Amino acid sequence: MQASTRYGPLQSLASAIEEVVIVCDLEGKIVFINQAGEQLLKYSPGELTGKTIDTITPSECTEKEIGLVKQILNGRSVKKFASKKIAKNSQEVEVTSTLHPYTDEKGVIAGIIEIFQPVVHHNSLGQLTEFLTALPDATIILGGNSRILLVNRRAETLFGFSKNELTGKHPNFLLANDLTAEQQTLFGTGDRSPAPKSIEAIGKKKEEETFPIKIIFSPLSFGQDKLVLASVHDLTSAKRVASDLLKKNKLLTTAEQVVMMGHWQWDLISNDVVWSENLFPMFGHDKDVPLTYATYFGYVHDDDKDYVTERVQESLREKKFKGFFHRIRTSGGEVKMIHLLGEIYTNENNDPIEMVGTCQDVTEQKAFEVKLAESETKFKSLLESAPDAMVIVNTSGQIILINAQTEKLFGYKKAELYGKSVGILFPDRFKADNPISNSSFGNKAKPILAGAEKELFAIRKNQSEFAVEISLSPLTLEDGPVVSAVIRDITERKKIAKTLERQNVQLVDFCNIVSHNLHGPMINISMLVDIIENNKHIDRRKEALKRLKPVVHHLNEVFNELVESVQVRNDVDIEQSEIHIKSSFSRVLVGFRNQIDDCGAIVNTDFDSAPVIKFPQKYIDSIFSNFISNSLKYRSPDRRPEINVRTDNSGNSVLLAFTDNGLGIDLKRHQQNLFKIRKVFHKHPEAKGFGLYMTKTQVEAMGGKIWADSHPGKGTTFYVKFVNQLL
Amino acid sequence: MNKVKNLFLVDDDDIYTYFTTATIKETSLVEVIKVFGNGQEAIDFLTENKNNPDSLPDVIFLDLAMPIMDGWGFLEEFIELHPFIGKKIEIYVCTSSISPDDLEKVKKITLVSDYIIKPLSQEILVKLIGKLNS
Repeated sequence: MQASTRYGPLQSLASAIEEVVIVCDLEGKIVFINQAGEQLLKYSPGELTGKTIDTITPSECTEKEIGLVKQILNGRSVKKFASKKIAKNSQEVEVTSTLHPYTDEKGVIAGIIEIFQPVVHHNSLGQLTEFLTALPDATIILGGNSRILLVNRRAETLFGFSKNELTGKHPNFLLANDLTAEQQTLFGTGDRSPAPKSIEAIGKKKEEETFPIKIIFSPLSFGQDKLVLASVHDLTSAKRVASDLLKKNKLLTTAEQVVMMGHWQWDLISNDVVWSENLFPMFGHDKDVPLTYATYFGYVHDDDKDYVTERVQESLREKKFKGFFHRIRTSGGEVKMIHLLGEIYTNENNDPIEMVGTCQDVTEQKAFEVKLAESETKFKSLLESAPDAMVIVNTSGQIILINAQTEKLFGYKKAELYGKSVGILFPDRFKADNPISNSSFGNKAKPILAGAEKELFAIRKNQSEFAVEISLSPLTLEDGPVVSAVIRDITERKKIAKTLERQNVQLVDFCNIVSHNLHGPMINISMLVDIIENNKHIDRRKEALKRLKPVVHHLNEVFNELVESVQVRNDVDIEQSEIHIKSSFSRVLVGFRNQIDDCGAIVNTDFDSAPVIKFPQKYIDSIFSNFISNSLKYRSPDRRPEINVRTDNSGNSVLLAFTDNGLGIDLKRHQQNLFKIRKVFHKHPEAKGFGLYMTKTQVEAMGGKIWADSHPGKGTTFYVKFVNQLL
Repeated sequence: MNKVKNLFLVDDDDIYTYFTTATIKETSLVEVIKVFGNGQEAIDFLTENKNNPDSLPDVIFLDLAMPIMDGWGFLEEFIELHPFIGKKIEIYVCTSSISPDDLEKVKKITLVSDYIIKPLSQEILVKLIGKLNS
């Protein structure tokens, strides 16, 4: 308290100056030390007050200082002198000091005032400070013993310590990592080459935050002093950029790996080639083997070498790189498909100087594409090889694909149908309501068969219609759902069905014929046998026996007739020839000459409209023979027989009309039986009921038709239609 | 029923008519047997003699399959003629047809008494004639 009162003014003065101010009483006890002093000597405020000056005075200085104090007490002044002080941490601080007497109000010396500054070559520091401030980097000047002598403002900011907190200390505390012994020597001022040396280290800020730094050490001669200038670079942002780059590069590498891609650079001037990481495994190239363009070219598949050379030269010529595919053979012998893309850089003269680009291993994709193409080809060839017309239609009813059979069936070319509505293939009455347009399969994707029950017709380009059956199936192509329609021309089948139907009728007829005509004689036989066995009268038995023979004969005859008619039915492949009707008819007529002469029949013919028909010769002879025979057999006794025969052309067929003026047949009654076997309509000894049956059989076997027009008492006209006569 | 006086055979089968006639005659149960070769001949006779009951038959044995006019034709005509005939005539269809269709068709014609399938043995024929006379 006393001191603060007594030294109050001094205190305020002392705290305002940079120098250390210490006041001791005459017993050597410190009564005051300013803040600068406490800081320099690392004591906390007030800690030194009351302690003896020896606390901070090294023993070797004590004697000298006592001598100087004595001079002061004797009224003499003391010059500035070099001395040392001991800081609390026992470190010695070189100082330059002055001593002054402290006098009380009465002028009596009451103590000693010591004012000192650390020896930092006081005179030159100002210059250095200025120099440091001008430096762009955080800079620390190290003095002897590697202690920090000076720092600039940037260094303070960088590390967060104030100048005072830094000066006099070894800079190790600014580092978070241990340095090697060799690195440690860089802090020293020992003899060394003038070239700057640098280390990278981890800096530590006051708030313990660490950060990457680079320290560049340069020897600095300052007057006689040898110092070290340490310039500290914060590498944080540089490191971040570097690590970002590293990360991005990694990302690129990964990305390239994922897509099996790598990139390359080719300096066209120096011929230097750089490959990215991924290219090496792709080509199986050893990383240590230096790269040139020849390296790449060396891996190109032998068969593709000319092609690649050509393409690269073309790119250079046109200064535009057009991507292309080629094969490589890796060092391991594996063949890969590469997609090569690139870009060409030119100089100001538009000369190419560099080529950069990418290589992608597309072996799998290509293989997939090939497979895809193969499966598409397969699908198309399947479509083409299908025996039926196939039409693929999209959901809006447009034709998207047809096969050759469709072209053949409809008479359209593919190009004429693609994109057209499928309605084009149907006659107007089916256009809006055809099964293909209507086939909305939805979820229940079940094939549909159309035209089987209800008649369905399609129409050709030439507008001719034909019966079809269409089976529809849903199909999913890459572009979406479609409907595949198999269109089958069933004209032939319908014809066959009709033929079958007709043959079935004939078969039933035939069964009836057999049952009627064979059954009759058999019944007779059984009746006769019954009589022969059981009749009491010998005459009757003899009579029956006598009658048995003609019945058996008759049975045989009927049987032979039936066999003959069966042969006609079976002989579908009988040879058809072009028959000149006139000569055929004349030849048959000759056989009836006697009968004609006997009854004086007149025969007129007119075959000019259709002089020729296509028919089996044997059948036409038999038909003419039957007609002539019937006309003569059933002639009217009231008039002279007259026969008129003519032919007419009617498109695809020829019509034969055979008219007589005979007895005629009551068609009202006999229409049903007219052409049936063993049906006779007149009581005539030669009526057997076989001729017309046979004629009908022969005509129908050739697909023709026979019918009659007759009026009893007037005569009969038989008509025969010969079909498929377009010669 | 009275004794069968007149019996008609309408059939084109000579053997059948010859021996049937002979067998019936042997029974002495039938006075007159007339044979017609087809339906037309029989119808013509009936039409001519429709007012002459003594000439008309009591029984007709009718074949189906015949030339010119078959049994069906005869039946059609007979149905029309029948109201003008003042005598009850029994018709037996005697046919070699074993077709069920024919049998059905015949059954629908009420004027037909029965349907007999040939061959008709002498034994059966005699029994039938006997029945007709009882």
